[in-house]
Amino acid sequence: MKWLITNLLVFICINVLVAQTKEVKNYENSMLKIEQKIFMSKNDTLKNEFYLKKFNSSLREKDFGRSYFELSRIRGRYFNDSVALQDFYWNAALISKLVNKLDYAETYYDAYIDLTQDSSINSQLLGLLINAELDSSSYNMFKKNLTLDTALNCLDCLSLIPYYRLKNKLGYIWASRLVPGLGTAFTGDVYNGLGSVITIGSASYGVYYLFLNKLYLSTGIWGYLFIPRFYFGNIRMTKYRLKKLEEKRRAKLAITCELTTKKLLINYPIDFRLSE
Amino acid sequence: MVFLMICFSSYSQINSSFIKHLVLYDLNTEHNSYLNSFSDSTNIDSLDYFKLKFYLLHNKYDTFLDNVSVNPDVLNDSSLLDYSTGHLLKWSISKTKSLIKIDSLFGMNYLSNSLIKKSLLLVGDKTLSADFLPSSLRTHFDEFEKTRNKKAWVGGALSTLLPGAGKLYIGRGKSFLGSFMVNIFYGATAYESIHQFGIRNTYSILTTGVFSAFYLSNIYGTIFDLKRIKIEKKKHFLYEVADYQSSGVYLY
Repeated sequence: MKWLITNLLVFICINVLVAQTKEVKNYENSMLKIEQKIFMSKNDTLKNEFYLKKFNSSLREKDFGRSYFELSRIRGRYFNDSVALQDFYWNAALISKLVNKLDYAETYYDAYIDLTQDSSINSQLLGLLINAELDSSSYNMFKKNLTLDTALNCLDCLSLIPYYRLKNKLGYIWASRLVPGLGTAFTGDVYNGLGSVITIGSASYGVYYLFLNKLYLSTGIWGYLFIPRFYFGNIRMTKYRLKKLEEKRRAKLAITCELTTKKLLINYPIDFRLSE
Repeated sequence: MVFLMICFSSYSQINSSFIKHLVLYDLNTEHNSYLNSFSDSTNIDSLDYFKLKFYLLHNKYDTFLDNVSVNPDVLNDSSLLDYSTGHLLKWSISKTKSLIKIDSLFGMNYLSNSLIKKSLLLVGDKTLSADFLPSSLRTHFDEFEKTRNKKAWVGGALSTLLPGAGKLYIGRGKSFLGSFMVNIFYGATAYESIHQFGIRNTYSILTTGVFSAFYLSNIYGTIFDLKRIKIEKKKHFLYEVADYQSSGVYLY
């Protein structure tokens, strides 16, 4: 009997140790454990606490896609601690901005401001960054309050990106209408521009040559089949190249603007508020 | 002792309600972590079963098929078989046939009398009756059968006689005028150049060559297009069958 009890105890100890080793304390496992606790909880407030725990864990791991997902499960009304709620609204606004969900970012930011009346530079800077791509009047209001620091003027580029348009677009199209291929070449696509000039030129000469040789049926048919297609096709290509050029310049502007914003954020860092 | 044993047995049990919770909230990472938290050496009967369901949920059909023959228990679950064949058929006909074969070899041959197997046989054999099909699928089958009975040589012959006529025959009515006019245009230029300069002239050879290329490609296009339409209609019919089969069948 003594032998049996000793063996049983050894067996239990080994199993407990194995179970503990299995429980690798990595991020995924901890997220799973919290989810199991959520599943077991019957109380909404308790569930909300676990949701918040998962949200904060994902923020610490910089798993922002998941943070945004977890964010949708948390309800402000179940918070008992006002400081935790403030931090949650701040983090929620910041994560929504980072995943480019600006409407949500604005909602959480407004909730944060309603609760804290925070007028610090960091808070206003976050409001400015959210509103720069969302609402020009709010952006100008934030900018007006922040003109104390001229470095913030560089953020104007944020509001300019969505409205960037290439100038004199009609000029390029008219150039292609007058000299097929010229507008395409002006957009920077010289090879296609030159190709269009040669194609339309030789097709027109060929049709004219057929006419000189009294092949009137061929003149009409080849003329109808080729020239309008090449001519209008080139105009369509010019429009397409213009669209691409505009996108390229907008992307370039966005990169420059991002670098400027990063430089500014070094001086005024906006961080997540993870008190735990 | 009994209490400890209960504790140990419950520790290694897969909680199906928890899995349903993970599926409901679309928590894929947690779902995967949960299934992987049970080591393979642990003797849990349902682990492979839940892993197979996980593969199906995430459309990993290849992995599902690789594992299904290893775990024949899954073949006893008729609703899972209905779900898997319905979804597999939308993805690959040959893989569905593989699953049916696995079921006949290792399972209870549940799929032998299923709508999907009957439909797969039906599309491959003209002599079989389509009476078993429900009325909603009958329309799609009739559409497929109409195309299946068309002959490629008839389409080719019609295109040879009148460019574009073959397109009308195979059911591409909108292409008729385009094919017909293009052939008329190129034929007219060839005729004019031969009439003006004779057949040995370079321009005549060029125009005749272009006309011949368009004329022959129209015949070839008709034959090729009919084959494509037949495959399209077959796939469409089988997709509808798969949809019918999997409607109202849930994985969890």
